[in-house]
Amino acid sequence: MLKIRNLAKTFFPGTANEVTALRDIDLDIEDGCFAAIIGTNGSGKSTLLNAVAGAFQADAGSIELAGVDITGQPEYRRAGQIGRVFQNPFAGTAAGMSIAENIVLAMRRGQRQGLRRAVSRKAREEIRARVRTLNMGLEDRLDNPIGTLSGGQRQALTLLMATWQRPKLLLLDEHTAALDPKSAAQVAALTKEIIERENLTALMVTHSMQQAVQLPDHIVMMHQGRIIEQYGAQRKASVRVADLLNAFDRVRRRDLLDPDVAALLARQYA
Amino acid sequence: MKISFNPCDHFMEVTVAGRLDATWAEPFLDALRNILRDGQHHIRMDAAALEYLSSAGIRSLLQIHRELTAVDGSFKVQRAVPFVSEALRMSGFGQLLDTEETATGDHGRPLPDAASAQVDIQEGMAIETLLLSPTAKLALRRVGGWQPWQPVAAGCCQEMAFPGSRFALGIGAPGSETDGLRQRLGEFVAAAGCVAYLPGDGFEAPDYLLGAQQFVPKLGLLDALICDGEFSHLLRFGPQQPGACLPLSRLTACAMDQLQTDTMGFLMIAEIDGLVGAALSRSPGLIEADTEAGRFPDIRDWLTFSGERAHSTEQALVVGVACRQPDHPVAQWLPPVPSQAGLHCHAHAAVFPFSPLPQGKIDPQQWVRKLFESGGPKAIMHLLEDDRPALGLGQSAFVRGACWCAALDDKEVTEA
Ligand SMILES: Nc1ncnc2c1ncn2[C@@H]1O[C@H](COP(=O)(O)OP(=O)(O)OP(=O)(O)O)[C@@H](O)[C@H]1O
Ligand SMILES: [Mg+2]
Repeated sequence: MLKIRNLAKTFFPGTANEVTALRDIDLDIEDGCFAAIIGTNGSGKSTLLNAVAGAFQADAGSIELAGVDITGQPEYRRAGQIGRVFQNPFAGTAAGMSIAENIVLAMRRGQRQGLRRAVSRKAREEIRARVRTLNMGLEDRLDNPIGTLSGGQRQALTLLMATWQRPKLLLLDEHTAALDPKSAAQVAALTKEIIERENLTALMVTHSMQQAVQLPDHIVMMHQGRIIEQYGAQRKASVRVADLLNAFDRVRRRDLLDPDVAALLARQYA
Repeated sequence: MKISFNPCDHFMEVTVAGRLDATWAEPFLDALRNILRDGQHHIRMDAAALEYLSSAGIRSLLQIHRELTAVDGSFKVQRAVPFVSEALRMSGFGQLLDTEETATGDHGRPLPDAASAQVDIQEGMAIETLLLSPTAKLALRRVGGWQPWQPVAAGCCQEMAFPGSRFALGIGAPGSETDGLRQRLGEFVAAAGCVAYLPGDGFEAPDYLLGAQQFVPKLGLLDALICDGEFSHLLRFGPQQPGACLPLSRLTACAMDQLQTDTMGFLMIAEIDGLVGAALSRSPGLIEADTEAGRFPDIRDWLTFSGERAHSTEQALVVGVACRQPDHPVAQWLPPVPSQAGLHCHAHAAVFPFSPLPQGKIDPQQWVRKLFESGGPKAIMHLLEDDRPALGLGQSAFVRGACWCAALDDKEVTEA
């Protein structure tokens, strides 16, 4: 279970560029729960994922994963138990190395070992078998440089690598956003399949309301560094794309409610 | 396909040349629907130059025929070449053809009953007043009397049923206090045995209750204005000039002039030019003693503002009470309209997809129900006038519609 309490982060505090990216975040994600994070641009979605992954130290609050307080752990130590996939298909893999070599690197993630690139026969068989589950025919191209693959194929492989050693938590930051619609749908379906098969705990940032409604078990809505709404269990089951758009519209209108409008409304509701 | 329009006295003549097939069926239907939206319910189609009519074309003719007859309008195909009339007859739609016998038939819109109708033109809008039960008056009851933004005491929501003869607006929710009514309070509109309400949890779409046979919708009310009785007048309005519309305060002033009264209740169905308003985004039942819900910034958690002239071209169901005598007891219950000194008005609107109304005298029960039956409300709001200098959005206004109204009976104004 992922348990976040009172998490806060302000970038460039005390300067003209000060940005409060996270304010007082409380979030519980049960084991085996697949949660989507949605929110307007700059609402703090990526910052939240980065804080969990340990890319920086939060200003306040705590993060607990599988019963262990990881708040103070450096990023490399968390990497052994947290898998990540980013928006950019070219991030997270080495373009010049082959599919097999990239996977071997991923298999050793979090382990203190040198960069041995040789792939044993046994490992190769396992790699072939697991790459075959992607249904993309890539198992026959294990020695091709990963840079020769399409964005969708690379994201599928990155996803496979990020979940190779069953992470305690999988973080996906708009990992289908840079793909063409067909590949995006394919990777989205694959994501759900892997998460369900491995019973993973996952947090996925997405701007696609369609995905937010269809894929996860839980939806977290963020705005201006805060969690403003959550749809779990019953509410998640009945939520439609229109409801989410509606909720965003209300958020937009909330921002419109400035002190002048407040005075106007106060006169009406008096 | 080529389509041209020739407005005649009591109908619109539409000349269609070329092919009416799958490619053209939709644009053709849209063009004819726009005529209907503009208030012309009788269309004659001159088919002399129509070269081809496919099944998709026939379907579009039938569709517009259906939509026009639903609002007591008519649609006829005239001067069809044999191929076209054959195609219509063979597919069983010969009734669309304007044959010799029917050609002289019911072309015109029903002329208003001269004795009871009066047409008034104001700023590009024609407002026709029709008499219903000239002496009828409405009883007004105020229930609840919640004082914004005070905490809501347990047991202060009164239950009320909404039969067809009652119309009301206010803050309430279905259910009882034992099942969490106080967590769900939001704005509502009730008329014709139908209730549209906002579940006050901020992120849900509006919901509705439809009375049927034994079922009469009920709400627990925090604060509401309830009118019972018959309407005395019906105002039908529409633009005389393109782009003209009727602001709510002008409509209420005009209605009160006709009713010769200073207090009235009204029910309206109208195409929206723009709605300006607000709605609760959180149930006032959740207010605590130290909550400053009425002040910035906390007010953001409790109210949402439309922020624009919203829902243009859709259809509104509006229920309201107005008073232009500031020292009348009813005025104390209604917020002031800033641009009209002395006018007080409280109105709620529920927004539905657009659907046309027939002309002339129409029954509020029937047409309110039709709105609900065509799908639930898309939004509900408390209408208000935004008089902020420079940025103000003004007040809600309407393009075309029907407003049923009656004076309040001063002896029947009560508070519970
Ligand atoms: N490393 C950083 N240094 C400075 N400011 C940052 C940093 N990371 C994020 N921010 C700022 O914090 C705020 C939140 O950014 P974040 O990237 O978390 O938003 P987001 O919800 O992921 O938005 P998007 O949908 O655009 O990806 C933004 O104002 C952003 O500019
Ligand atoms: Mg981001």
